[in-house]
Amino acid sequence: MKKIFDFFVVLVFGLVVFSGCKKGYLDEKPSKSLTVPVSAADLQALLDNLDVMNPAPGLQQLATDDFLLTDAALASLTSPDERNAYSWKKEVFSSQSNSEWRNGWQQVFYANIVLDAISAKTDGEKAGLNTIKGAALFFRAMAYYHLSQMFTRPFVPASAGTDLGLPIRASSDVNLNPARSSLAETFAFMRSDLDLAVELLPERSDYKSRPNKAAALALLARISLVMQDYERAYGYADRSLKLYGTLINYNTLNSAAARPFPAVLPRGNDEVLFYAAQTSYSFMSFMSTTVTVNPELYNLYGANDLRRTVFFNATGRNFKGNYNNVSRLFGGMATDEVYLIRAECQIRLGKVQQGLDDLNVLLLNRYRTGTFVPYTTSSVSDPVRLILDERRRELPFRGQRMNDLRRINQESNYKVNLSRRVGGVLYELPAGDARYVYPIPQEEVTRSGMEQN
Amino acid sequence: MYRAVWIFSVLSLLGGGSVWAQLTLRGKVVSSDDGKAITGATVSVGGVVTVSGADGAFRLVLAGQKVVGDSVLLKASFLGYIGYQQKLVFPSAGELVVRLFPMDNNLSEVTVSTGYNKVARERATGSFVQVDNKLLERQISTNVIDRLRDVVPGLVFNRTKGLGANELSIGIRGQSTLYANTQPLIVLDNFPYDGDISNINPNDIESITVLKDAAAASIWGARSANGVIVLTSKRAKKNQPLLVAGTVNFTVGEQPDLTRNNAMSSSDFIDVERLLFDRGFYSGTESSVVKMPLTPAVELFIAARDGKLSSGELSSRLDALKGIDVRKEYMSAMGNSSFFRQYALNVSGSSGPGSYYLSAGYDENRLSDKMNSNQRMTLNFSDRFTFLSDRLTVELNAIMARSVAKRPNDGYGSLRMSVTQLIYPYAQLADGAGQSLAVTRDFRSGFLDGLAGGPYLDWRYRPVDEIYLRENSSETLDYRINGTARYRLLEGLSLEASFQFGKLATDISDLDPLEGYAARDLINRFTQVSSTGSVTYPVPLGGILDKGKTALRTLNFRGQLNYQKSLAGFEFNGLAGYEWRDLEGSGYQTRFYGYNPLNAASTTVDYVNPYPQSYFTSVTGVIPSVDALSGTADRFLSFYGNASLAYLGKYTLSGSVRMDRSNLFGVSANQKGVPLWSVGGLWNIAREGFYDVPLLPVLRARLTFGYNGNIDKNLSALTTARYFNGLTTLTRLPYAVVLNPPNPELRWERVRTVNAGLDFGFRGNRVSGTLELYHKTGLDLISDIPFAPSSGVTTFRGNMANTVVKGIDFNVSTLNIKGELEWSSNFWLSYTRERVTRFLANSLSRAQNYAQSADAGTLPREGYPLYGMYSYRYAGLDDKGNPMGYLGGVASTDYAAIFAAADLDNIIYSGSAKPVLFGSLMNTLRFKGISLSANIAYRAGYYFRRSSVNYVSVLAAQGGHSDFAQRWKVPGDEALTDIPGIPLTASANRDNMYLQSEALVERGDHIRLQDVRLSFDIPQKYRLGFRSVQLNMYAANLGIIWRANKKGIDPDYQAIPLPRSIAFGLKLNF
Repeated sequence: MKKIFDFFVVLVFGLVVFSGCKKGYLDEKPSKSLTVPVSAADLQALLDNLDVMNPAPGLQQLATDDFLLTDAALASLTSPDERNAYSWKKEVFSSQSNSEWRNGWQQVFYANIVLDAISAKTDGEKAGLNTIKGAALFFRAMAYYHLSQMFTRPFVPASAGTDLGLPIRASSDVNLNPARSSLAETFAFMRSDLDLAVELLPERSDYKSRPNKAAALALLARISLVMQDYERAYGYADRSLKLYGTLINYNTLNSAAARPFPAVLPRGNDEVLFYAAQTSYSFMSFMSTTVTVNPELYNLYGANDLRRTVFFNATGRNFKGNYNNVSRLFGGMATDEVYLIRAECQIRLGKVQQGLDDLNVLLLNRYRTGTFVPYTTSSVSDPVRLILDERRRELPFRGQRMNDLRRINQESNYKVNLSRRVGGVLYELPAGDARYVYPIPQEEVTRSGMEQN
Repeated sequence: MYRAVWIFSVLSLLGGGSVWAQLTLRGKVVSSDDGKAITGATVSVGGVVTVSGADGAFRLVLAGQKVVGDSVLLKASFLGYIGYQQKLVFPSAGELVVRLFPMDNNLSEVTVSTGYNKVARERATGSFVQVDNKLLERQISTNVIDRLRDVVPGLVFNRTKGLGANELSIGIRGQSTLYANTQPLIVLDNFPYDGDISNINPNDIESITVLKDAAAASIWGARSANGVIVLTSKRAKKNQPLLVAGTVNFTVGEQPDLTRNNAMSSSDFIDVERLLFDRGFYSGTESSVVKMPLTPAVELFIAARDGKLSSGELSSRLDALKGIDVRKEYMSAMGNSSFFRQYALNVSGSSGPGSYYLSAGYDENRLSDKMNSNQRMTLNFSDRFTFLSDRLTVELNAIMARSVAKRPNDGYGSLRMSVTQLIYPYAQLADGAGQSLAVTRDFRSGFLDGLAGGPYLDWRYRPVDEIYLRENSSETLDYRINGTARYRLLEGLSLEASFQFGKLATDISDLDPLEGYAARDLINRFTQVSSTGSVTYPVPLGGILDKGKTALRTLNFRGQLNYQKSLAGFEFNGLAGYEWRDLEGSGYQTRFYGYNPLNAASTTVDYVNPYPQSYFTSVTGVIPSVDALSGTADRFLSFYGNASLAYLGKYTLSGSVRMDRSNLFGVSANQKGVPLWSVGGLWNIAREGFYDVPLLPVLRARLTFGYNGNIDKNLSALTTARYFNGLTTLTRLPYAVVLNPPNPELRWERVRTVNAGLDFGFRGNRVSGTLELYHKTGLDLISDIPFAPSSGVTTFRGNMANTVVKGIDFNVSTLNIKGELEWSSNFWLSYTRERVTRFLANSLSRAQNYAQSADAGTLPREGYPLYGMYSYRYAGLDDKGNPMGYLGGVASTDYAAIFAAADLDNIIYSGSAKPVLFGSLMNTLRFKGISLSANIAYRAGYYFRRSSVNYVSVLAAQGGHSDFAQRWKVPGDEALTDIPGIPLTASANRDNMYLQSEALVERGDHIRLQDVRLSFDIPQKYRLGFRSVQLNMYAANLGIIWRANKKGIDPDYQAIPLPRSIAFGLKLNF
């Protein structure tokens, strides 16, 4: 009897002990909100991270001639970097790090995680992931473009093969430490990403924070323009506009409103191809108060130009025409810019009338109805000057002025020497100055040994 | 007699071998207290050993070794009794009676618990510290872990500022990890305790054992590297008569003195505001379209500038403001002294085969922030039965705790002018009559004045009213049910199965009623006034109620085989088992708008569409949603074994092994998991035949070696990302954040420990103690290393570092005076030397990071402690009040260049930022039932950094440090002060030159009077029939006796000292 009882005890004991050994018991995720990103939804969620994927540079804005601040306004800015940028200090960063640098590379990293995850899949699975792959390529190129505009020398076709570009990172392996490529290689990398993205991306996206074919073509056009490759820039801009070329007629906007443009996200503002917001700095919060625009800019607008009242307040000192309708400035792409690119390329390629026709289409939507007199080859003496001024009028505070300065300063006819007074001291930034290139942040140089500019 | 001995000796010499006698020694071992026979006691003479039999009898045959007249030393020992030694001269007459005295439980405990088994102290090879009930009950506190403060060698409550320390952050023998869990594992009644330790009623705890080395703790495997704290609940003993015990304690605590928070005075603050106003700093805010708030002083400046206020009026109004101190305002209107009440009752006893322990406890704590309180109710029920003629033992135990924390008062730090701006120091919270006053918040007061009579609710913020209006509480229900069944299969062999089911559920409820600021503010912001003047409220008129729940379900199961066998002087104790452990957490949070407490109704709101905000209609906002869900799962499967072999009570060998697998790292990493093991040996020197020091009857040497593990739950070998629901983004799309890049090389952290110990005890326990030396090597420690941003991450976490901790734990207890007046002392000392021995990213860290790290956290450096105090050389101030460092050996103000040129050779390393030497001295005086004890604690060998003025904050009108008053003001001051003057423009580099300089580094060494306790046992004739009645008084945090720094700063708290408290208690036993 006791033996049987003992046997029974041991049996029950054994059963209970090993009941815990279910297969896969230890495969349970430690946290439900944790995921190893492999599914299409996971990868899309990474690219939908607005804080990571959709910022554009913001600091350089202050260095352009679109602003003119009083000393008090300058003093009210919260980051020393803002004051340094405004007065064109050589050491613009007061700390070891810079958020545009960090964020740009984080975008590259996220895109690479997505691309690596897709390349690990079977061919059958890959087919369903084309949109995500195209988006990742687009984001990677966009990040490289933004980084290059801030941290490499302006693209000069003659020297791009030897000028320092950025390290090419095509893998999410954080242990790789590639050296800086040439500027030409960097731009070639962006273009190859985008060429593929154009193939893969859909014509429409449900959210303006996600790229589509027209946005990728527009970015290709912008990059080609920076490279002064007008032929290609024209081709890309043309293809982009043929896919989507809607313009807002400013006569339909309420110019008295504090923020006349509809919000871009999720799918507002018909001109916007792709949403990006400039990295937040305190000057953006003060745009409607102390941070004042350069009167020279305001004076560029004619009396019938609706942009004068849509973009600026009654005093003409403050900018309110943010395409984003939030305090962070718009830094993405819109059709107006693509019209301007197509127009400029045609003018520079000798097809002046066609270029002016593009400009006329845009401006018909910008002037008070019935007041705009279309430009013709006979009415315009310097069509390049016209288009450059028009770019300045159309795209203020969208991150384009600095890029334009970097480009046109290479042309003796159009270059601009900047100067401004801060605290009674005159500061100057001559065309082509080394300060158009920001230093690589110190933390990067210390940790990876990257070659400084 | 001497003569006879001499003759015997001569005879034996003359006779050569012929007179060797077969001498036999007979006797009996009994317990001195009840005279009962002791079975199994070890008795020895020289190398001849025997064990006493069933009736305590023993017989030693000293064949051919001793002769008549020889003087020999007889020794006897038994578990729980003091070792016995007696000199004899052969032949001894008749039967010897060896009386063994039971050990005094105060000084030398019998067994120590590992949570898996109980180990006899005499056979314990590892490093155990037991805190017995007497020492535990010496302190009065709500939290049981508090009672380990300054009483356990090697255990320190980390207080160093900036190291993420909180009042319950414990370090046992230094830190052997960088980023993984640093806290010891807490075990309650044999299972790890994952709940909130404050749910345990300290009156239910019988004793605490602290396991410090590998042999003691490695049975706990992957979670044992930081040491293990084993709590053992009170249980009834077998055949125990009914015992009833009651405790009542009242504790009164001082109010924290906020005025010592080193904040700039109101007067200085207003002077800075004036300066900033004149510079135009407020011009942006003044014309802000979103009506950003301005302080009353700035409003006065504006009024005076605009001619609405005469200069005489301005200065008198400013003077009035300068006389207000918001800290004092807070202390009188929103604070009070703390008052804790504790009641506990327990009943224990046994009848027949069963024994039981029942207890109930109730705590009601009023906290120092007014209206905040904690309440706790605990119930504990445990029963033990034996069946089948003691072959089967069943134990059942249920513990329930319900605690309610009310926190309508967010504390002083929550007083703000806006999300980004602290409250101004001259905010007046209540008028002379105690009437609550409005302070500026979120919007300019002029803007709010203009709204009067409109569709808006009152938009003023009255902080004092808030604490009475808001209803914030969290209610925790914690219950655990334990069951153990032990079945003795054969003599010495038993099977044991235990389980625990536990659930910890917290309900959080936070109601901001319609009358409160939070609700009124949100409603007003969203109020829509159409062009026709009609008013709608997208945030409905009513309260805002946030509800949430977190729950943690634990399930533990353990099956264990125990084996015990004694044979021929050998004693084997072994166990082997299998364990699984399953924790599942879940939680949610949601919000109800338009809540009406009368009918518990709420209204739905539009979370999707943006609404123009009433204060500036161009700004749009979406009604905030806080909804969230979470779920976690921790799973462990483990095998373990532990065995010890003792021989004759002299030598013990022990070993343990454990293998853990979990779901934490991902499967591949688990497969690589290494078993954690230990071995140990003990030599009971005092039992050796050659040992002949009756004065020192306890002398044991111990040596152990082994591995413990540690885990970082947040890491995975694969790329991981965290999901967010995206409710707050512009797209409302769910999105993911990459947490860590893939790391296929990820391994578990291990700590290798060598521990050598020596236990000693002098006769009569006049002096006893333990000395231990240890060497802990942390291997494959997980660390962040700074990564180049171009990689996409700025830090990378992996197995990057090794550390070594060497140390000494020493404690000695003395009985200085014995008799009617008794004076005893307990002194302990711990020395801990931490060093990083390998850190992969060493070359990547700049000196600048080290100078910052003492405030920011761990920054490993090979050859140096984990937490080191580094600073820049300081050259004082220049004649413009700018701080100067050294650049190339020359005083300089080129801060960027100084920091760029800083390297590990030219910055100053002062020493450890954590105490290297610490301990305490406790003296106890007893006289006729009166007992007085005082604990004096000390910490030494470390440095801390004082805080001082940060002008980036000052010139952003965010206030600053009180050092501002002693700043450089005019040329010449540089000879008198080190504190920089106000710069033209704030610069973080300029601030850091001073803030991170040697000028602010101070020695942390100090001696503190931790606590004093006075207790009085009422004599029998006044006990009113109770078995015992004790009155006691306990005062804690009494202050610093001596400190090395000359600034009068308490190195551990720096600003606001820990409030002193005094408790009165009553203990009754019937």
